[in-house]
Amino acid sequence: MKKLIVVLLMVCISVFSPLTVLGSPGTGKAYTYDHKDQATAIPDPYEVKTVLNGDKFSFSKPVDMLYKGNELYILNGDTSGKIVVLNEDFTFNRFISFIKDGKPYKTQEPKSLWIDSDETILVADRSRKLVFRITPQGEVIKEYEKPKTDLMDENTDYLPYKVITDRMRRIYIMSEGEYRGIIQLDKDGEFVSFFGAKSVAVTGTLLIDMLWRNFMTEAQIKNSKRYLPVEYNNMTIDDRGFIYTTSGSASQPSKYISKINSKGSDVLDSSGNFGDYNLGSFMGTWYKTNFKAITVDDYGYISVLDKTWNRIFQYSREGELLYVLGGNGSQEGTFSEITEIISKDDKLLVCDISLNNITVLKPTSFGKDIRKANLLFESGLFQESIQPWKSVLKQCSNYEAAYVGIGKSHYVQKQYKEAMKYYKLGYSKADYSQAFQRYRSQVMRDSFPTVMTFLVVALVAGTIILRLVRKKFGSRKLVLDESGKILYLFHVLAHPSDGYQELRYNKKYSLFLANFLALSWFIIEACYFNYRGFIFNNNTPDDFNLVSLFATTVGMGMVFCLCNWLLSTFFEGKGGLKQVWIYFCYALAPVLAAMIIEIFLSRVLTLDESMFINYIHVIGLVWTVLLIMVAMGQLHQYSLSRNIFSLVASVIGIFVVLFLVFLMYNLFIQFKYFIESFVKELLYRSEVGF
Amino acid sequence: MIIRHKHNIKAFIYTITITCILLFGGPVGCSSNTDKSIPFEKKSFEKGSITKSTETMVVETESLRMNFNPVKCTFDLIVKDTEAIWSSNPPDEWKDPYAASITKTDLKSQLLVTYKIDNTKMRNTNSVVSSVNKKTFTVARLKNGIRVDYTFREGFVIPVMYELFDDSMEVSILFSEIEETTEQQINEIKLLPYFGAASESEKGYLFVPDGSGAIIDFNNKKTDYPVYDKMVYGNDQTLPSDIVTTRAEQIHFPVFGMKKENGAFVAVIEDGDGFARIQASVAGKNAAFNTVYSTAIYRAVERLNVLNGSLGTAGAVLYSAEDPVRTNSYRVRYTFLSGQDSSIGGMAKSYRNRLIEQKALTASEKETALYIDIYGGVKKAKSFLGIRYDGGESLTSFSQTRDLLDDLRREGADSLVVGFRNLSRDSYKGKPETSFKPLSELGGKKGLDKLLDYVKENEIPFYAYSDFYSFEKSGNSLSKYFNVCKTLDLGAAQVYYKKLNTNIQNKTRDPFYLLYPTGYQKAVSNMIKSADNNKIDAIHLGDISSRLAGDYSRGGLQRDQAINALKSALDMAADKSLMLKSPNSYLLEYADYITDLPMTSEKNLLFDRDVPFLQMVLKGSLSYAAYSANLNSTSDDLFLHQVESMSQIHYSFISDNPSDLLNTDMVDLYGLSLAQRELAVAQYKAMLAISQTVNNAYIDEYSGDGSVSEIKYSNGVTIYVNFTNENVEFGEISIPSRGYAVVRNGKMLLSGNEVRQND
Repeated sequence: MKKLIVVLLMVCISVFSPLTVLGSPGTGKAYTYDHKDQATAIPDPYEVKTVLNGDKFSFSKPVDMLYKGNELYILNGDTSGKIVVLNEDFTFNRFISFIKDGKPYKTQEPKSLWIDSDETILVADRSRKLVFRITPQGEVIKEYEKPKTDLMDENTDYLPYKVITDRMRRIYIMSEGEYRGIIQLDKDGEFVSFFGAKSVAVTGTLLIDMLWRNFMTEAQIKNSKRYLPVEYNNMTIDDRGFIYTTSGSASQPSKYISKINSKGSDVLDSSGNFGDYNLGSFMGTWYKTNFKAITVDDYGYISVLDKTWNRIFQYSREGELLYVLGGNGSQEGTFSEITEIISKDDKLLVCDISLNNITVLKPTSFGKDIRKANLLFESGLFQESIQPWKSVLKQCSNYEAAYVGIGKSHYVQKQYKEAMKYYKLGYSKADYSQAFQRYRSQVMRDSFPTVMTFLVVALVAGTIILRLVRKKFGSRKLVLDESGKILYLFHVLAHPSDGYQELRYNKKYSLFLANFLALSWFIIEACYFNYRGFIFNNNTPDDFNLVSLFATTVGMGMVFCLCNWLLSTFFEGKGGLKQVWIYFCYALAPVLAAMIIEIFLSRVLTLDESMFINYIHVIGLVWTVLLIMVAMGQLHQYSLSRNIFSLVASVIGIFVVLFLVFLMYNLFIQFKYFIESFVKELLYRSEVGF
Repeated sequence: MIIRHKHNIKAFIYTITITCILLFGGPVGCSSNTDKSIPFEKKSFEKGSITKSTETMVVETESLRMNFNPVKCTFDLIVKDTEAIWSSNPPDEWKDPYAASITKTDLKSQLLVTYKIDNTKMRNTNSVVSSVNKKTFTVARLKNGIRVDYTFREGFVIPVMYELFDDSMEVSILFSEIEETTEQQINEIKLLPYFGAASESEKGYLFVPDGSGAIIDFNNKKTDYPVYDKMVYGNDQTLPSDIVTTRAEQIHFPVFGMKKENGAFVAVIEDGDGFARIQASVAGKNAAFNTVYSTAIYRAVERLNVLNGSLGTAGAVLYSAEDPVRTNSYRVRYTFLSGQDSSIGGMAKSYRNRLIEQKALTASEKETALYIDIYGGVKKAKSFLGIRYDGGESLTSFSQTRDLLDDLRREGADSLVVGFRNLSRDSYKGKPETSFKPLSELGGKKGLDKLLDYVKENEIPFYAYSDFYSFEKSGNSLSKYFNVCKTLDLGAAQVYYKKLNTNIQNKTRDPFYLLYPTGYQKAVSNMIKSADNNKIDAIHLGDISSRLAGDYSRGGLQRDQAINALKSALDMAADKSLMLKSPNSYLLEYADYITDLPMTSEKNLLFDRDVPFLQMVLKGSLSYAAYSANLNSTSDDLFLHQVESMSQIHYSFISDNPSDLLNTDMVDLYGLSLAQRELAVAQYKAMLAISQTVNNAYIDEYSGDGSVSEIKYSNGVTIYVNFTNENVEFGEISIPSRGYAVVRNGKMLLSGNEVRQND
């Protein structure tokens, strides 16, 4: 018996603390993101050309690299005080050892290396809190310590970890903890200003805190959280003088990368966010992209290193993601702790301080095709880009940008139908809408006479037929006899107050009609989900769930009616459950009609004309809501205030029911787990013995 | 439910109990009653005559001599011809500059043992500290060898046997005679970890069979990288593992080797290979030696990283199997090579001869052909009146297949080998694929008959795909609840797909289950029955050819026994021709064709270069193709690698537009475009011309440094492959940039550039 209790206890424990089997983060397959922000597999865009081993090439703990001409300069991250220079074919050329006054000049934590236009070399040493300049031979000629200016906070430590210069030989230094921006010095080392400072992002919590501050004492304010702009963590400069920066994971994803012009403002106008999408928590921690280093190649492609998964993201000049590659591991093309990335022609070099190596990557034919196509496309050479885009698709049918690219070239050739086909495959709604607009006017122009003739004939014929019918049957009063139950619905819709009131007395309501409307609601919602035009429909058939659809339409309606009826006893309402249901269903008619119209309109309208659809939607909805209000008021004989109160209570009732359902569901799941674990334990015991 | 009275509670409990019994009682009864195990007879080994002498013991064959030191249990193995000495351990006086104190005794040990002490910890010990220094071991002389029984201070006894056979030494750990205590259970035993260990002054290389095969040069200074450590025949998917690699290349052949200046050895794990690992390390990492060796797994242990629910902290729990593996011994055969044979070519030859001796390589090499995989149906979300359902859709119907084959033949692919996938509804329903009932969307039974007639008439080998390794849903009389591999905590092993970006399990997609080895018989008999019904006489076996998964429930067939279970099941399919997908060595005897053979290693940073070892073993005996050139993310070097390893060209196609695959489960197959057809035919033609110069010759030797490789064939032909962008001159022979040259007797027979996609 005791054992049984133990077993049961174990079961309970396993129920409430489910064992989570984990894998470690890190993979090595290339991917890109599709229109739903889901990662999709693509062929490798880059492959490893060679891996340079620290032990073999005499460098250790590489932290920064730079190309000067065809020579590769590698900065050792240790205290050796050395730069290793390799030839173009990665053979050893020479060491540059730092010397001052004839004695070796020790480094503590060198972080960054830059070659100025006069061939002197700048090195940032974080722990020694200075940047120093050496001759090409290694002689230290100048040391730049913390700039002496009122703008620098005395209490902030000066921890320089990145240094670059521009064509004017101004020096840009990033210092750890310096949130006011990049420190800009003139070529003599005098402080100029803070450059490219970021502003504090305005968020909800910030606004609330600002409000609170008005009621706080000085001391409290001093002790409360400070809102500082996010600091950059790495930068590079291109040959036109734009400074590209990364700012880790602290800022908003759309600001992970910036391209700063000489005035200090961000000019990278990317439509979306940078970094990985759709991330999840893992062993209780949320992981997100953390950009660490950045490089721009001669063609303007921006490559960024993500520290979290040791991956490389490559973006186009306009900030569109091309692909993601790399990953954690100890295989070629994977990394352990990447520190810096640089580019040379179309090659990428990545150094890894933990594996003590430098990986040289070159684009595969697939990668080359994408880069070529993208370059042509972003330069507006749509025609020329079609060939490489097609080659991309030949190798990878998942690459959506290629469909858009081909679509665009069809579009400029005025082949709108083809363009629409490709835009649809590439899930570019805006482009599709544009092409559709052109296509629609083309069709309209071509078929205008036919359509107009048909319309005129139809109008005339319709009028005549209507006249004839009227003549034969005479215009009938709808309200009068028993047979007009269905037509009476229209009377209710047009004259809700009278209509609903009369319903109470003349009993011209039909349960069949009400149920029919409810069923239609369900079917029309399903069609609304699946059959709206491409431009207005963000749903995919995969997301379609019959049960939840039923629950959110008819199910919810039923719960509302039930609540309303139950509450009517409190509010001395007069209606019965059946009547509530019928009245409610009658009221649905306008919104249903609106949805049917929307489904049709969504197939002929473009994105620019979406307001028509919105209007109809709103009209239908408002009409229905008003009808429900009137219906319940008339049915229960409520005063206006009581009516509103009862409706609100009904809605609250829905939430109460939802809450109960949720509780029940949870209980059920727990019970299921319990039974599962119980059986598992039984199986286990039957094999192992009690 | 409101319970008002006491008897109601009773009734409630009764109801629940009865329901439970009804629902689950049956299965419980079933699982405990059926005996899943195949009979396992413990074999006892020769005990020999125990000696107390401290003098060196000598064992000799015609070509080998072993000097065994009965005090230290170390030995030297001398190859008589060349006087080359292979020592079990580094010399005694050795002072290792890198080794930590624990490693210092490891250096003198023949066995390193890992054992479990409680539910969270493992501990290591070695034969020197725990047995030899304490003099708790016995040495016995056998007919042709020596037996040592180590009694460890931890309480377990591990007998090891060394036997000499002509040019080989067999070393066995006698599993069936191991004794252990209940508290300390042995997990794994590293066998002769420093055998032949090469010091920093020696030249040579280590060979590991990763993927196609890889070479690690002695003293390559890559000490910042982790040591090489990999499971033979791939990880067991039943036992979850944290290891994730870029290229999922695995070990297909249980071989490793070492080459020194005066000789080489190749070691083959002949018994217990189903539960073994191969490890390699270079000098400067843990010790001043380059080593390659294997590890025997005696008892399966599963390490679960768990999230401690309430606290949110992570920890690890070890589950270990009740019983050790059901293998009598773990046996490694070291064969010593000298002279010309002491090379990678010699290692391949030795292993090939061994396979032929064991009748594992019996098939004959077929003519050069273009291998194509065709995908039939796919699951697509469809809707009717707004109601969604999953329906089958044709990607390539049977009549389209005929047209495709016709086109390929017309364009010059005279010889074709066809694999047809997604033929039945099982494939997209996620059921075990053992049925060949053709999808009606593809043309149904009639269409299939017509296609089969067509391929028969045109003598095209046509292999219908079947896979019963894993499945998502029960079907074909195999249940995902009862007929699947169980983990050590006895839950059914659920393998989840991982998200590409985060590598975290994708819980939105159904996991798959692994068929337990006991079910192989049933699966294969179902498969044969369905094949007979549909007139299919050639079957393409999928993942089961390379994946090995054990069942760790009590009496379940673990990895080592899964091999035998699979082999005896496939024996039933003797009248069917089989195509295997990158098979493990134990299945070679069943293969008529092989596809998807790896072209490279996993490119571990520790490796210095790849060798096409698998192909060197198989060439001349079996036909093999590379993986689909348009399916996997492949290197631009693929074609040249194919020339280098003489692998047949392999493509996959669908007849419809590949954009049809968007929004299906097959979205990962992104390169199926028919537009690649011309390239496939052109590559086939080039490969045909090259292969005709060597016919069925064996590969004698391979040397390559990643930029230019040289492959010597037994018929005197040498093929050079140039991976660089410049022409390479070899005396009078010029090898075109990114191309190849075929040479016989110093005369160029053929040369050309790679066949690749035009821009």
